[in-house]
Amino acid sequence: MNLRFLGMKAFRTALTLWLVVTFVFVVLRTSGDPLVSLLPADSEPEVIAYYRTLWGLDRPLPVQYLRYMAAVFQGDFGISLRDTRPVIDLVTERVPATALLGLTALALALMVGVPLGILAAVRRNTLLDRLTMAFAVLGFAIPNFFLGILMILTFSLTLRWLPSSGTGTPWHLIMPACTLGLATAGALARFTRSSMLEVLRRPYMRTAQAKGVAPGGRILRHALPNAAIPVVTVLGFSLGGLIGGAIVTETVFAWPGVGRLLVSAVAARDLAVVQGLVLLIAATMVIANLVVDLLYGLLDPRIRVASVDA
Amino acid sequence: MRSFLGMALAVLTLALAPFGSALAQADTRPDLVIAVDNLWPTMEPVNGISTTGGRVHPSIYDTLLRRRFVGDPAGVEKEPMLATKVEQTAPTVWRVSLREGVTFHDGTTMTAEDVAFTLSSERLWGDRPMAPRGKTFARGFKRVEATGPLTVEIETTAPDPTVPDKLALMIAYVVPKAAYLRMGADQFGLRPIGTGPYRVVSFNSGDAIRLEAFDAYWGGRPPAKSLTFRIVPEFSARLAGLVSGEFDFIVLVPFDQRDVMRRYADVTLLDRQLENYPMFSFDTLPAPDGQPANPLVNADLRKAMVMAIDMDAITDALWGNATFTPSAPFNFPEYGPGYFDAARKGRYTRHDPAQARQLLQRSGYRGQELRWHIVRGFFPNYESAAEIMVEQWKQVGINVQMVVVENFDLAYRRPFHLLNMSMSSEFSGDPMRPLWIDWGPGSNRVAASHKTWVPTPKFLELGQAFEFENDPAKRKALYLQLVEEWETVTPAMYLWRTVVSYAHKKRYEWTSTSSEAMRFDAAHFKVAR
Amino acid sequence: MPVLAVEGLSVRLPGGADRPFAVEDLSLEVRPGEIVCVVGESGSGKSVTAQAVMDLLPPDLAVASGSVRYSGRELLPLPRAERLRLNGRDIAMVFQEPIAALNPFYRVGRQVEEVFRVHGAGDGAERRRRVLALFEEVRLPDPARVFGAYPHQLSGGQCQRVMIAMALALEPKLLIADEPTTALDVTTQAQILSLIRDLRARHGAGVLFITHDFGVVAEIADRIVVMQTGRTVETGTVASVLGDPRHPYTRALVAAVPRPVPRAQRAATDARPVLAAEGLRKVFARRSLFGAGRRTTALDGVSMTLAPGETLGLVGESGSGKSTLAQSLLRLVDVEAGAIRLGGDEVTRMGERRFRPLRRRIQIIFQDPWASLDPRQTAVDAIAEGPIIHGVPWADAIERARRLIAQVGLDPQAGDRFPHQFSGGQRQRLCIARALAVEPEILVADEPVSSLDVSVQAQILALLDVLQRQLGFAMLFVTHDLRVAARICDRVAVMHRGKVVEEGETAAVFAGPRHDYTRTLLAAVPGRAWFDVAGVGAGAGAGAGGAEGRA
Repeated sequence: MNLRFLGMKAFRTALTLWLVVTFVFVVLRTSGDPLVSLLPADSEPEVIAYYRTLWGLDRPLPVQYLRYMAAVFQGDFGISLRDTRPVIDLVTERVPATALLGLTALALALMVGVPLGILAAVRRNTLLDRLTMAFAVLGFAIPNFFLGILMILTFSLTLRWLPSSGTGTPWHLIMPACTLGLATAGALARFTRSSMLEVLRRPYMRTAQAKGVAPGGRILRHALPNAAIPVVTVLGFSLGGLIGGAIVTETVFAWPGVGRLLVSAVAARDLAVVQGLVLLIAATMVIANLVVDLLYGLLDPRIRVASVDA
Repeated sequence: MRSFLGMALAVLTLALAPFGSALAQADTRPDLVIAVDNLWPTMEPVNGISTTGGRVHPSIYDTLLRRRFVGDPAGVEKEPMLATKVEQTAPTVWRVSLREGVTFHDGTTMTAEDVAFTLSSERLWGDRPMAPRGKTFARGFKRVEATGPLTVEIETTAPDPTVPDKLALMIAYVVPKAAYLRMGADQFGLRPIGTGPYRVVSFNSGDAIRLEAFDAYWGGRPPAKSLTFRIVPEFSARLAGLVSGEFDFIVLVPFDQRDVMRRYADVTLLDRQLENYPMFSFDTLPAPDGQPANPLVNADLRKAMVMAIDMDAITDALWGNATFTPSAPFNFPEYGPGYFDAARKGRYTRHDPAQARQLLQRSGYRGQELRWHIVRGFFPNYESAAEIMVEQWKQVGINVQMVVVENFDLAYRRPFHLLNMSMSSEFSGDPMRPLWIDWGPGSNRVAASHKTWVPTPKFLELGQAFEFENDPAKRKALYLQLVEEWETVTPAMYLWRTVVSYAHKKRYEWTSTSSEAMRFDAAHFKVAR
Repeated sequence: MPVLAVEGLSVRLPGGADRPFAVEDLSLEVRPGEIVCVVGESGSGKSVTAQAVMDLLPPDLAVASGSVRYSGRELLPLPRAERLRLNGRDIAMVFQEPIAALNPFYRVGRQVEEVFRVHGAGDGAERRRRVLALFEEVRLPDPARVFGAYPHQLSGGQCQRVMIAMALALEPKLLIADEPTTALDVTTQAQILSLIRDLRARHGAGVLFITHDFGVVAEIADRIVVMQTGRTVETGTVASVLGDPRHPYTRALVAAVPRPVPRAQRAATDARPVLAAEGLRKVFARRSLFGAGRRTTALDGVSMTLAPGETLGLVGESGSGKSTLAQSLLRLVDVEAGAIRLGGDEVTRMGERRFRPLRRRIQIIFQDPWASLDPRQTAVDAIAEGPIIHGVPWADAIERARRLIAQVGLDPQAGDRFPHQFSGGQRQRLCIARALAVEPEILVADEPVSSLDVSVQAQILALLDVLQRQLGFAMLFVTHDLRVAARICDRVAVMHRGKVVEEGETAAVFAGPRHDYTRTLLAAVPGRAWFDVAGVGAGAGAGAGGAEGRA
């Protein structure tokens, strides 16, 4: 492993996170007074003033910023203005729910998207291919909230098969995970298809056929491992989509995760919580992309194994 | 899939039957699930003053007195709760006698010390109070003291006939002093302890709060085995869960979805008018130097604008008979026959286009654009009403521009001429809050950065007299004079009374209140047989 | 009985193609132990023939009629699964680009082993032993190490040996080799050809050998089938077809084959050089994600000069440093040591801003004319762009572009077309016109004819020669093909492992190579024996049209 390479990556990661935090800080402080949203609409000026001092919002912006950054560096993400608990507690409490939902959705997307993409590529230009791609585009285009409500109305209200919302049993997980995973499944299907098509044209696929390898073996053993390499990068991107989608999906299905926390914190202008969450989300995405980068190298022998002098 | 679940449950029940049968047979009370749009993150009853917290508070805590809604939807009367008697022993001194044998959820017995602490300066109205949002509601408190094991004295700075009303407010949800001080307000808000019919067993502000029947409740065995207030932000999910039986109650049925709800036979839809009125205020203050002059400084223009609007027709068109527009300012039915008179008409607050044109002519208004700041989607139907009103103003030659913004902070930024807001009528059982606290000196209308008027000397004089007047007849006379003085200025217009809709399974009988508070004690909730 | 008998084979092209059949009414035979060469230019249908035999046709091509018999057994009516069973076991194939023909994801040993596995031969240990034996047989160095290597870790020649090992694994009776040496260096090509000859002798398999190169044909064929646009134009033994081609197309093809016979030097080299390099050194340090850096010395003290109007050939195999040298002279890569003089200017470390005006004096054309043309620019616009950048008024530049289009042998009306509307040879003509539009003193031609058919190759070389005489520019001609170098260069510099090992007048170098490596290169030129025996060299050299020179 190349240390300089890792050092560069780490530096860029830190820079990205710093920019994100600073951006969010500035936007939040300049787009509205948190007290007006946090306190009841008609709170007395003296109550407002009391909280403004209590939360340090009366200090000049640069001072607030420096204090915040100093605290963040010490791992202190502040106290929620709304329920006065440490942000770190609030967030860590919500992470498992979102992780469960996100990973299930991702697994679902992989299980649906990749086989569909393979099928579409192998049966290129057939009805199956067109249906699969229509599904992919649809999956990508349907807004999460619309799909979520549609599923609730169908599977909870009309058919009464699944619980409408909340957590508790694996049944609760089905609709949110499907809602969240569909777009990713669509993206994966499309990427897998194009990646497979690219690989299927490669000379080594003809070699496999000339060797007498059966079609199934050609697809699974020869094409798929090579096609999977670029698809892995898509996973990194789709994580961003999953987090974005989780915000909506968690709200629709009353899933007590990070996304819901973000929605309510933004609505209430709970500055510390929003900042903490944005930092978490940015860190997750940056780290996921880093992991994907490394995974890419691990998967591809051409990158993993340096060529030797022949 | 449901049958599979059912089977699994049946098997589980059979397997566990030998262990749980004694308990299970004893308790046939329902486990209620109430789907709410959100939960306030703290259940400290003062810091947590909010719609989403207030729904839960009556199940955890008891106030000293409370308004009786059983048999009277207006809730004019107050009934004893933790206080058995509240009497005025001197013009500024009130003695509160407490109920005996009330226990908190942690097993301690409620004493006068707890009540005194609940209303203390330390907690509510001192310089650095633990629950600072209590200040508004503890106006005029000077001394709160336990004078006996079950007696508390409250002294106010001036004679205050509304003290008993204050003892029915959120500040009077009694908390246990020792536990509260040990935990601090913040921790207490996460693991609240009260004397109410249900005790909190778990609270996750992002998901649900779960309460179990507190069988040692002084008011008798609570009618539900447990309550779960679960966050379900999306209405479709609340609806689906109610219909499928996952939820027993849901809140905030959107007005346009009420007909959908009525299609389900085992669901009861309940419209409830709250003690709150959406309105807009006129900016009556002169524009700062360098800014274009504010035409609304002229009272004739303001009156003309009010008279140009057919508010009854608008309310009827938007809400049907679910709510109404007050026939005169501050003529609110929740104050009972003492103050409310259905026949009373406003002097200017009435639809009269002809007089509106006359007043407009006299005002010298030249068609300058008037900006109406509205927060998007905050008050149901507000934008729809505003569109009609803008059209009606246009017909008489008044040019109003709706400026819809995302939050109140943006709405409060000047320049604006009209500002949306709502005003609560709850507080003292009479119009003191909407008329005097909300328009008097120190109110946001006068003191905040988004202030819109300066009370006239006469208004100030009448208001002070009204606040401390004990005699009901004189108080009412002062109220009418105050309203008249207010109308002379006409600094605002009230649109309609806020209405919310609940839905619950038909098998329950439930009495709602005129606030967000949802009561699930034996008096308000039972399972129909 | 022949191992392969093709009779009246026709393969239909999809609608919209320039002709209805890719292969039409083709008949050929391969007997055991015989090498039959199918020769033709691109698009002649020779590869399609091979694919039809192995059921490897792309989905849009279909056999329309005819018969393909393997050892007497008719293949075409067999179900696909049955034909797949023959592949690798009875009929095996070796492809053109050996590195790309191996799956990059797997170690090569495993890929050869798969042939045994697919056809159910042997257990794990035995299969491995047999693969190692095969690697031994195809003369791969250190078979155990190669077994565990990935394709990208091996050279093209090594990969082709792996492919041949794979093909031979189950002792097929028929080996199909589709341009197996085209992508390889000339010395490697010679080795692979000799390997195939040996294996044919040892295993007695019939070989169907597909190639476009008559030099290769001369080296390896027993019998020849010449194809043009899907049809057979001539068949016969190697001696009869090469010695006495009957069909005009065959004759044209044979005549177009560049001979390793040098032209005469034209210009004296005592004039002040337009370009000179002294002691150039360039090391590439490759840093990969998971490995330590690897250093390759691409240029190791290289010096050269280029006189006005002369053509210097830069000859070498892949990795010899010839392309790096060309790029460093153009300042496309920076050298670590040494000096480059462009006319009177020392440009080695000149900043980009100062160098930019000098760029006009030195222009380049590349191997792949596709990649160097903007698909959304018309021919005229592409050619006029350079002069406009260098300050020529727009109208003059367009005028000059149209003139150049005619000068490079294209219809002047074609100037408004886009690159995709031209053929490969025509596109290379456009690239030449574009490079010459700014009236350079030096033209660097980096393998300009390597991807073209022989007949087109000959035309482009002739064109460069004519243009050089008309316009007087000096040319640095980078090529791996000695035959091409012989045909166009006044002098050649032979590069090997970053060094110029030999330099001199083309005729002198070809006649009396002094360096061992030069001798190896010359010996490896395919068809050399044929050229010598047949004596076709002299005429062809004159036919290239520059022997008289300007001396």
